[in-house]
Amino acid sequence: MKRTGILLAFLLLAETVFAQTTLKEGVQMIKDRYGVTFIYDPAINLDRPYAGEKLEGKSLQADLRRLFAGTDISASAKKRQVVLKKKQRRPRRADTSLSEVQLLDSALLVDWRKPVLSHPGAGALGISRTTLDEFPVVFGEKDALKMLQLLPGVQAANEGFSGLSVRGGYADENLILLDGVPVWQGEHAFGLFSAFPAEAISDATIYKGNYPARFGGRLSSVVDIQSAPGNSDSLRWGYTISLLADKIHADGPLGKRLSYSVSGRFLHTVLAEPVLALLDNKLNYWFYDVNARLDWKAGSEDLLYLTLYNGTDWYREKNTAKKYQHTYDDNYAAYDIWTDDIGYEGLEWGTGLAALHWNHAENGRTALSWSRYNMVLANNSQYLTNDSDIHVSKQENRSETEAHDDELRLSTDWNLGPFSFGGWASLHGFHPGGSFRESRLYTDGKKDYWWRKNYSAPESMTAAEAGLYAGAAVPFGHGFTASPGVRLSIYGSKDMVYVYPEPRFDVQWQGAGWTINAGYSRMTQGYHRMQSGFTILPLDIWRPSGADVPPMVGDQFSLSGCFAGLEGWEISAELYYKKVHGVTEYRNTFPSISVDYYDWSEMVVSGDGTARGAEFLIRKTSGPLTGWLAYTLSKADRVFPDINDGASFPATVDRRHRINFLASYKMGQRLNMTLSWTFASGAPATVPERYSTMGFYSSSMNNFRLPPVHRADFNINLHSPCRKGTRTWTLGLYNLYGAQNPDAVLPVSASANSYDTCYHPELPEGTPVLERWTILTFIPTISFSREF
Amino acid sequence: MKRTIIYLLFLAAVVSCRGEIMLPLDGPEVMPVMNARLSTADTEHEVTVDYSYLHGTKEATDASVKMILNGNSIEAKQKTAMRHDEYAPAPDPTNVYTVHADIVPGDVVELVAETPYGKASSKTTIPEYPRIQSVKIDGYNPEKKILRVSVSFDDDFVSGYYLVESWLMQTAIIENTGELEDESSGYCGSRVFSDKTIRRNGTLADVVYGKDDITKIIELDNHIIPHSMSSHYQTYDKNAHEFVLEKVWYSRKVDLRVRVSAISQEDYFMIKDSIDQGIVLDFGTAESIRPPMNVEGGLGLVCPRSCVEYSLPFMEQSHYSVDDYPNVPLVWVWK
Repeated sequence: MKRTGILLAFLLLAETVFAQTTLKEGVQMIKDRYGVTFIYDPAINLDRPYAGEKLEGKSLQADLRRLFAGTDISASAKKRQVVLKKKQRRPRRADTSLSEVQLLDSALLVDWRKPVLSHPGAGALGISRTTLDEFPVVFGEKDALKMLQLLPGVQAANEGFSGLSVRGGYADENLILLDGVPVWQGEHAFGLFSAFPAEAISDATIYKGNYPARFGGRLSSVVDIQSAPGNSDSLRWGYTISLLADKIHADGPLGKRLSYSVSGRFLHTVLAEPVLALLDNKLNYWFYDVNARLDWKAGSEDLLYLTLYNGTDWYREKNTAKKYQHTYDDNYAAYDIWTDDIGYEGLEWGTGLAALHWNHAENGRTALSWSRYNMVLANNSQYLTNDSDIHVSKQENRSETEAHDDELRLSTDWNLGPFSFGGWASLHGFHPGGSFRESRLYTDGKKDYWWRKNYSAPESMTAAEAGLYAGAAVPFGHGFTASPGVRLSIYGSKDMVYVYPEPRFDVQWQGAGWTINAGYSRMTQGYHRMQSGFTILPLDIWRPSGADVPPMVGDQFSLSGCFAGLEGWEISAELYYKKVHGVTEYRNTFPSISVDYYDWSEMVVSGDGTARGAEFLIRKTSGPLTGWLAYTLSKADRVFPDINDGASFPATVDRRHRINFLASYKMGQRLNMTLSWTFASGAPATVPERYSTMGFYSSSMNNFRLPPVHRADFNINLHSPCRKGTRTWTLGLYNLYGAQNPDAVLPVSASANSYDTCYHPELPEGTPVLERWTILTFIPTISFSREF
Repeated sequence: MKRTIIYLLFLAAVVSCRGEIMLPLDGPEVMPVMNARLSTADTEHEVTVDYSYLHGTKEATDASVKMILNGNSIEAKQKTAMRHDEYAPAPDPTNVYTVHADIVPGDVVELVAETPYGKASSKTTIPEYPRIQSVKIDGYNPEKKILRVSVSFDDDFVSGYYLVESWLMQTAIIENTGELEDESSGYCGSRVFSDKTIRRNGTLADVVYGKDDITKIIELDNHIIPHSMSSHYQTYDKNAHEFVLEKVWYSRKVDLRVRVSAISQEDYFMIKDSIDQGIVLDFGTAESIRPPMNVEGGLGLVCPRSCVEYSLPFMEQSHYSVDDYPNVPLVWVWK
């Protein structure tokens, strides 16, 4: 009995002490237990012995804390990846972000310090904060959405602007998430800037295909943007002054368990507005936005955080026109008439968002959020007439219209080993506002008449959305993993409820440096954003589906292969085929924002779309020179029974070829340079072919191809340490060689008058010509940043 | 040097460029354009024919137009410009061609325009009459001068597109003699609606939805514009060397005419865009609108309508005089 007891004690001790003899074995145990992958610098030595307590398997966080307790290694887990770093005394901002995510296979290690594109899985690509800091953008504003446009399969919905078109989809088919909360209007300056300054985010991942079951609600893509949490160790703050905008950022701890992060940005023009108004300046535009986050570590496994966003844009314009006419009255007496036409137009729009999140032990996440979008358009004009000082009349006209949207949403996501599941519910109100027009006439200072017409606010629309999802990642065979999933989406409005099951399936094989994926996804979208012009406008309205305009449904098949067996390189290719139903387009009528659902449903028509393509990507991931070269060959068509005589036509986002090149070179720790070059085939546009009695006439939709667009951008970041923190000078040039790309095109008529802008004496007067405006050329960037 | 660099950088920041892209205008040099509105309320139908060029349009005065009504061909006559007096030169032909025909719902009407540049034709069927149960005046607000009319549809209301127009017809009769002194009409306005929507004009307009959520009753508000009526006569009495105001007693009658028309989808959207409907936005950035066309061999739009018209007595007054309407102009009559 005694011997047995001693033997058992020895075995127990051995198991306790010798359960995992090295850190490496402990890492392997955690990998097997939780199905996570590890990323770490090869310089970190995991072969050292481990003499700590047994890893009991209570939770991933608990096991990681126990394994690396007392070492100089820190472990942070994010989704299904664990990043190991050597602990530092003063963590820099860039170091707190998840710099790199392993490419595909847990056996492949990546140097996390180098800025690299991340690859969370087939059909998905991510960018880190580090890469964002180095990427050159227009006006010096680092923009996550603009950077995503450099990836294969992703392009600008309109050149130079931040709207996305992914695999032949339109700008409204992308779900932009900020910490899991949908952002409905995420642009400033008519799409020139996105609502997400780099200082406020930690990383962004775009899912173009093979969507995980937890994502849905849009046809083409999901852009998952994670906000940057505050630093829990010490206060950090910084500011940036650039040619156009100023930014300030601060983050730090508030006691032991709280931390905060606040970023603010505004254009210089807001400061100049009082002076410009005094000088009767004709045009001004400005915006501001504020991102804030408050984190509370409620327990060892629970994190609560509040995300806040508010941004507003203003635009005002004044137009004047003077005319003079010499005429005669009934008695043939001559007199002169002078007229002054003065018009003022103002537009104000903005978005507010508040979300409360609860994260539990890296397994669960629940969020309650509220967002609101508001828009007001006002127009005043004055028409002054003076006929030889005999009579002076003044006519004042005013009009104003407004609209706002609200959404309340609750969502929850959970991971248990290889399984994931969750659900969501949201209530969305669309409120097209009332409007009025007013006119007053004064003759010789006396009011002649006053007229006002009120347009009642059309009926508001309320829509509800809810659903559940479940997914799994099941390994089988040698190197195979099957990821089945299903999502059940329910869309409801006042006159209809739609229920859509959305199956998802992906099979992956990994081995010898290769990863091959084949997958199918069905996505649905219950909301439509009607774009009325060539770029995203604050007047582009979201509307819910209903009996007359059903939700959109898309099916996508994809096949991809990636080889990362060559050290420092990665080569990948992906083929896709997508079929969509229920996409909407405006009928041949001018859009109006002040309409109810019934009016709107009459203005649009539903149809189908097809998109197919091949994407190729070569990346260099190590060394001082990194970057990538991407090529996309694609085709996208649309067909609507009620327009274009039912004939198929190229989608507005159809670009046959697209090339993106990005190279980043680091010279030590102080200097890095980035050069990018993009090329895209011409976009289709509907242009006039002749005249009819109703004006310009086109025989078909998108009947013309605009010239191809291309540009090169360059950026230099000069870092230098200071007594406290660092300072960075950023110099850059957007559109390096001044490519004359068509940022906007307008149909005009040729004129025989040499004073007119469209003077073409060789053409019959009135011949349709397309006027091209290139707005973004030789845009310099100079900014100074200071970080403390 | 530093200043020059800063200046150049600043200049570069504000430079924007404008250019032109020439369009491949490789369509036919000239195409015929035919437009017409065929209404059961008319016996004379006008067809306009133009020529569409790459750089503009021109009236077609050399076309030959005919209407084929249920297989029977009717030649159109070409309208000429009005002559102001007998000494004016011979009137010029116009691009308006008129066809005399009575059309009713169900008729198949084909319009054909033969031109030196080709033949344009359009075939259409006249829609069914709107099924109206009743049209009545529901209320009048004299202060705001708003007259409310309600139009009720039958239970077997047919979905489609409709246009409602209204006029005020005023007649004034001299009570002493029974002579018709004056007759005038004033257009009160029009609205278009479909079975799904109601066009609101910003004042009071309600829709009552019947079974299957189809519009049953339209209540429309018409702005009544007071019409100056007739004249008051003054006679110069030579003996008294003064003007004597002759009191004339009038009987004034006002009727409201309401016309409800069943129209085509193209007509509906064309009228809808032209009616004041609040703030319509294109912000100068909208893509070109492609207007609807239904003419083969050319361009243009032929819209059929079937109409029912109602006359509703609204107001009758008598014995009004210059005291009631002091601003009515005076007419001097020498006797």
